[in-house]
Amino acid sequence: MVDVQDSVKLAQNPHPRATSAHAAVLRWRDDAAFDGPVVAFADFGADSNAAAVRVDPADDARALVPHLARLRLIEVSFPKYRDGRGYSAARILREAGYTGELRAAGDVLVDQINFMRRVGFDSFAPAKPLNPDDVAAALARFPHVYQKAADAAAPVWALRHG
Amino acid sequence: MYRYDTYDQALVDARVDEFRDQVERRLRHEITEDQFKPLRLMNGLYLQLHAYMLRVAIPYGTLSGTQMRILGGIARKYDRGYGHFTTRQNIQYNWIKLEQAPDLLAELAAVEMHAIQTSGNCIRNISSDQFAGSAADEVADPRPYAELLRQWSSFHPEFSFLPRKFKIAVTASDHDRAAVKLHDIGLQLHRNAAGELGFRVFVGGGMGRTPFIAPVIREFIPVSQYLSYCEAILRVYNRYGRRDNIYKARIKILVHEIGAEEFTRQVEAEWALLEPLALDAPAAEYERIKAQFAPPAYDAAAPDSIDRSDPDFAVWVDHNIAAHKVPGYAIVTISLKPVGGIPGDASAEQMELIADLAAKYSFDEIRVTHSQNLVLADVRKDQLHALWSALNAADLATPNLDLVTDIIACPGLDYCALANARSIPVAQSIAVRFANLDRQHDIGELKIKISGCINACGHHHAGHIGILGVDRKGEESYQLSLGGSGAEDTSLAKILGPGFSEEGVVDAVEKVIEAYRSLRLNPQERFLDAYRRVGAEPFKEAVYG
Amino acid sequence: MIRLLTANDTLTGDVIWWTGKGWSLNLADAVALGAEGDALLAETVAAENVNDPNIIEAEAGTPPRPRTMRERIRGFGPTVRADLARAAAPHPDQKLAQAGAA
Ligand code: HEM
Ligand code: SF4
Repeated sequence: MVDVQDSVKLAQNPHPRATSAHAAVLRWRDDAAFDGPVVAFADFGADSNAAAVRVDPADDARALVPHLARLRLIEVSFPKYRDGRGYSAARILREAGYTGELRAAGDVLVDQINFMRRVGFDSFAPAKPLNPDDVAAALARFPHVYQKAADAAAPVWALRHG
Repeated sequence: MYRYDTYDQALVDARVDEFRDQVERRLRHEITEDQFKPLRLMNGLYLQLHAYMLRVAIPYGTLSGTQMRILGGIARKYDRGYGHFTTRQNIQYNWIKLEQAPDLLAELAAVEMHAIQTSGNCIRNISSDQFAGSAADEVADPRPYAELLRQWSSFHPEFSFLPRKFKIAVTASDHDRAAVKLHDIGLQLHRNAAGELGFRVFVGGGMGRTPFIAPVIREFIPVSQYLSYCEAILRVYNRYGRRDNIYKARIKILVHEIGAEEFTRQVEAEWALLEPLALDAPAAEYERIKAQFAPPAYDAAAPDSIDRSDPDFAVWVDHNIAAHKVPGYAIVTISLKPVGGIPGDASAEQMELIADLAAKYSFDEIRVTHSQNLVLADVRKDQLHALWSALNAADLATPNLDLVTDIIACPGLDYCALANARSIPVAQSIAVRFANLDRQHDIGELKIKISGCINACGHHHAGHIGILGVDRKGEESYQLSLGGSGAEDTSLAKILGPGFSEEGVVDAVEKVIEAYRSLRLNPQERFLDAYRRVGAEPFKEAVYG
Repeated sequence: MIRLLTANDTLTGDVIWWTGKGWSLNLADAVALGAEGDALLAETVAAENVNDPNIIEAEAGTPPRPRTMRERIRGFGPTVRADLARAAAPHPDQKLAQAGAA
């Protein structure tokens, strides 16, 4: 579901602030971006103090669930946009109650950004910069959704039966 | 049948706008073909041998006369006057221009149709029993559940980039007319001991290069929970389906590799987490949809007998009519398999005629069958003769349902960019060889299914006789298989022996059929049953001996 | 055997043949490629102005006769619809289909 405020915020901010790791990160969060180290999933042991972790497609995002409280940033990588495992990873983390920053990084394209928002991503680090106008248009495109996901959008069956 | 409300319409319209933008971006060279291809595929637009091919979804194979009329009009306006009905109850147009595709989709949207998710690694059109709602043997109409699945799967944010395509079929009879065990998920509606409605869940069937019959992973999931259960299945597949090899990426390979038991355990574990999230639509939504599939206003006074005095008509009645649940009514199958014709093809004029006939004789509703025929599901018995006369005049009354000339054939090398060999000419040659109706009736039920390559779009694995086109050193060659079935007694056909040329395979089919005729116990023993009784040997002997 | 450059038109999807100066819908206009062929193909692929460019083999003639059934069907049209034949009729492979429909 499109959050009008989101679109406006993005449209007003055509050149989002660069962070250390990426040329241009689009964020839908009001808190300050985390800029500490992001550790690889394999190095993220229970004893690590890391507050940020990168999840690759083959990593089991659910293994992070016991540690969500201390995580501020989870970066889910999309080496190829066709590899859709990251969508499940994101939704699993949100369903488990994670409220920190959830970032899609890599082959992130404008035509997928609406789906990514719906499964819970609230920040994006595309390998190739996206045109903010296109992003705003893509997010405003579909007026309704047919199913529940990790966002607040009410599916049409809920609207139909108020 | 289901009518869009403003929500459905707004979503489909938005999709047309989106695609129009994408096409314009491509035509202005703002995106490369590499980037554009997956976007057009998500809208059912393939590039085939001669032109773009557009696949339009016909959800669970049901459409109105109005929709059929528009399909005919589109064939005339945007294509070359015809369309091809497929084994997945869709229609394909073969000669579409990219620049016109957005206008075409807008015309479809105006009659509540679309090409969304008819390609790509997402959940495809939901297929179902072509007799749904009218079949004497169903426990309930499966289409409201199929419609709910259609909505749930449309623009699903988590499952639009699956390892591979995903096909779901829903049925509600013990008699399986939707090949549920050959789908990624097959859902069979039935009642449990307490009389409640739920689904038997089959997962991991399929054809293609590695055919599998789906195992049951759950005997009963209440109808109030089947959406979240499907969500769990899809999530396990999305996370663990193979992505390293496109030929091993279907869910059937995952189920096979880890075993049905382990797969079931994973699905149940996932479902335990998903079920409390209230993902299932409420009963009120099901009731809203169900109301739109309410039975039409049948005439209780409709006479329950058929005047069979016209012998040609009587033959058609014997073959193309199925039992209806309401006395005085019949289910009519319109054969799209005239002898020598192209299986599944219909001209614009035929589509428009069928639209008119549906309006006049069958409450304005039409079904598409997985064997590439059309159905008028609610015809008064006392109007059958009038209907037959109109069909007969348009070459649409071939009395060959389930007979040797009722052949399923994919487009093959005449159209398809993936093909190894042509399918249609083989179907035509076989039909011509067996054109004699008495001979066809003597042979009885026999399902020949032809695919032009290993992808098996023509269901050759499920043919009583299956024919597969292969490439032998640059020449078309055909492999013969026997003993498959896509019905409730699902089985996979086995290769008989070395392949044939086109003429050779027609001869071989004839030898197989003659062998069957000489070894059947009685004329009632079907080819498939005889084959199962005696095995492949006598047929090998007849063909290669 | 000669070599021909073929592709599909991006806008219409039509099968097109390289004539030495541009693209034609008619197989009879196709020119035999010389040594420049492979570079031309690489250039065409990179330019992305047409879809699926490819070099195919054919017997010389007017029109040339592509070696594989697939390319003949692309050049002449489906073998099962005489009415939709392209370029030079009759279709070299339509014999059987016509006999079948008789
Ligand atoms: C002409 C364009 C078509 C293309 C490019 C195409 C492509 C494919 C491919 C690649 C597969 C194999 C999928 C796999 O094993 O993973 C497949 C399977 C299938 N296709 Fe097609 N197909 C086309 C037309 C059709 C038509 C015309 C029909 C119906 C007559 C059809 C129905 C099916 C069915 C039923 C299967 C097998 C079930 C399955 O494994 O999913 N397709 N198709
Ligand atoms: S089976 Fe092969 S030849 Fe036939 S339509 Fe499918 S992909 Fe094409």
